[in-house]
Amino acid sequence: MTAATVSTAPAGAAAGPEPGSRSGTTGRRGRRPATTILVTAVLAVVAIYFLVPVYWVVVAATKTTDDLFATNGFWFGTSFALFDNLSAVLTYDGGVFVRWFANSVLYAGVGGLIATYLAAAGGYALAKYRFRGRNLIFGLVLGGVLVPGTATALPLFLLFSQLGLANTYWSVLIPSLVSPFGFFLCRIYADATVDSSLVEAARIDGAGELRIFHTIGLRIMTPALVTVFLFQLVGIWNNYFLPLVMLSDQELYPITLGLNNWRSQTDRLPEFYELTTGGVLLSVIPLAVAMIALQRFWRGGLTEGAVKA
Amino acid sequence: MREVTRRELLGWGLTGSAAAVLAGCATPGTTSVNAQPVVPAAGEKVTLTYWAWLKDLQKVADVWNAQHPEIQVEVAWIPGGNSGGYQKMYSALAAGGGPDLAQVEMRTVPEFMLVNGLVDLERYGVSEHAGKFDETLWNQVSFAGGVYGIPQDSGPVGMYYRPDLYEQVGADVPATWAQWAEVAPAFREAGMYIDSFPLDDTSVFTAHAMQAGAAWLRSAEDGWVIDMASDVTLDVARFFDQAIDDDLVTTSANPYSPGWFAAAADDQIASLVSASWGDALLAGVSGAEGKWRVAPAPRWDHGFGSSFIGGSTSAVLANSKHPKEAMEFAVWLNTDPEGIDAMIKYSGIGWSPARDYIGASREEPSEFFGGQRYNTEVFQPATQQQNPDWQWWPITQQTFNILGDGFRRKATGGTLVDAVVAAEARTIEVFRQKGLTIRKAER
Repeated sequence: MTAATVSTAPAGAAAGPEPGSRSGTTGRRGRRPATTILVTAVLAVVAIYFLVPVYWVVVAATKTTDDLFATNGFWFGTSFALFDNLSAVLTYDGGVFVRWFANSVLYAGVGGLIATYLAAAGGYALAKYRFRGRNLIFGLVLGGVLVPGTATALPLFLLFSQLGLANTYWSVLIPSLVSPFGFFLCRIYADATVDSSLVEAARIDGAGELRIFHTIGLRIMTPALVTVFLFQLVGIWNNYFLPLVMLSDQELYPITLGLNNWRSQTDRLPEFYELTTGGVLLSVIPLAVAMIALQRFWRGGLTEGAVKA
Repeated sequence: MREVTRRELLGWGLTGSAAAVLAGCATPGTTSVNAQPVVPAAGEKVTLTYWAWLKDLQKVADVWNAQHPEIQVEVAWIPGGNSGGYQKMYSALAAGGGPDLAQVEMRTVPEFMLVNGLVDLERYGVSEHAGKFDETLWNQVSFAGGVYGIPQDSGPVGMYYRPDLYEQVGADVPATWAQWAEVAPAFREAGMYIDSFPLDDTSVFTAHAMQAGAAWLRSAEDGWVIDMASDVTLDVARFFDQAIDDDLVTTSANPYSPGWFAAAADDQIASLVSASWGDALLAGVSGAEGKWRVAPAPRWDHGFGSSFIGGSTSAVLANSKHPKEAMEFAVWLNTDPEGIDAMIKYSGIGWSPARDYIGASREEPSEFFGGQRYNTEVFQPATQQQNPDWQWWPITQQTFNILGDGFRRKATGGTLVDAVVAAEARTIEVFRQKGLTIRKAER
């Protein structure tokens, strides 16, 4: 505690000892420096590749339409219009962007949570109970992983039209509730981590099957669940084709569809460039927050169960 | 002007289902709605839906709704046609639903006809309104004695130019393409370009060919006739091959692309042959206010005074329950002065298809163009000098893509001429794969 306070106090004073201690850590791991440099360099290139577009969006969102193409794309323009742009985004057409944003949060948040729960329940059941046809079910679901979501959008639309559910919240939400990949991951994970003797012990203590799943199964599986949730959240948030065919009322649109409508306008009206970039900037924030907040679970999740203890 | 028969329409209808299967969306009910009895007028209050990507079209519809309590129009704002809008319409049609009206580009109308997606408005008496529309545009929605959409907007072609830059290099504004090629080198010496030539957006090249008098495809009694690699088109291709080889035009920045905006703001682009809807885009060039003017497009020594790029229709989709009312709304929207003015004000459309009225605000002198009344001076006369024989075909977009792929080879030593010849051959193949009859024109 005290050490931390000292090192953060005067920047100049702390600068001295720090590099020394850092190189000491590297040395202790006993890795070849060439490997470290190479890996770091590759990671740096990859990081730049992914971060440059985000950086561009941040810079572009601060410019006026006039400046957008007239000034260097990777540096700030003569004017600083970030707040004007953002307020234009939030107020355009009676604040429809806020509505799209809320819709996306609903589709991705609720869809992600329920999909995670269902995947956990299914995966747990398949891993912990012996019954006829379980491998067939697993095989079928595994097949589902291989079918891209885009391919199922059209049949789903025909189905939902027959049911009279097209162009409702349900039409996007219901297909988002299943995640074959999550199911697959949960089964593997439950197999490796939820000890059968633990389940037996709970049964002997008189716990019902549902209670065992909820109090023991779900808790042990938390790292996998976070992984599944993040995947599903990102997947639904970025989904374009399903809402495109399902929805025709712009009040129900998620952010992807709404932003694309704005972008379409630039063919004729260049001021929509600013609305679109401003909207894109706002739309990446929730994903960034979710990633940063949940990534520590994710890191733990992927390695666990990989090696048998 | 075209001799097209019932037999041909039947041919389209028959091949329609085959094409739908090929497209991977075997449409339930691909039988043509146009073979079924006419839907009578409702006689009671109806609500129509209209899918369009024009912005704020609901506000335009509200003007109509206020005056027509018995026909209410609800607009759904969908993504642009090629960014998902058409896919959405095809899905809805396949599900037996969809809106009453949809925004369909002129060039896409035949593609929708191929899957029996459109109502023939001739059966609902649209011909009484024909006189209200620009003749060339009307021809583009008329096939085989039927009318498959109401023209909604278009883009007559003119030349935007910078008088200050022309003066700087001492060049006159070219009235012909030959003069254009003569003055172009002067701009290169001053570090500018007279124009840019987009290699991957072939709609511009198509407009030039159209202006020169080409008609790439036409429907005849015995199927489609293709005349893409005609001398007229090849001359145009040769002209731009030469222009690119001589470095008279830039091919690295398509008009209205970010790079183009930057070059234009930096005084490197002296002029731009483009459509009327370019006016609003030019306003996005930094510091452009008052610097640009508009002149008629340069002419070829044959062909027509102008051309057009883009344009869309309000089409009545096959599953509409109220085609008659939908048609009435579409006619009002696109010809009534109130509808046109509202379309300009709210949706910012580039040109209206009405014969007698171009819109009040378009008649005003433009501040941006230094007080020039460019619409009445240039674009309105341009609409009178169009190629009336031009017709779109069921795979227009695909032909454009094929041609664009060929054009891009220009960068690695190919020629536009070769690309046109190859695109003709490939288009014939695709037609045949779709089960459509096509033959080369005799030449």
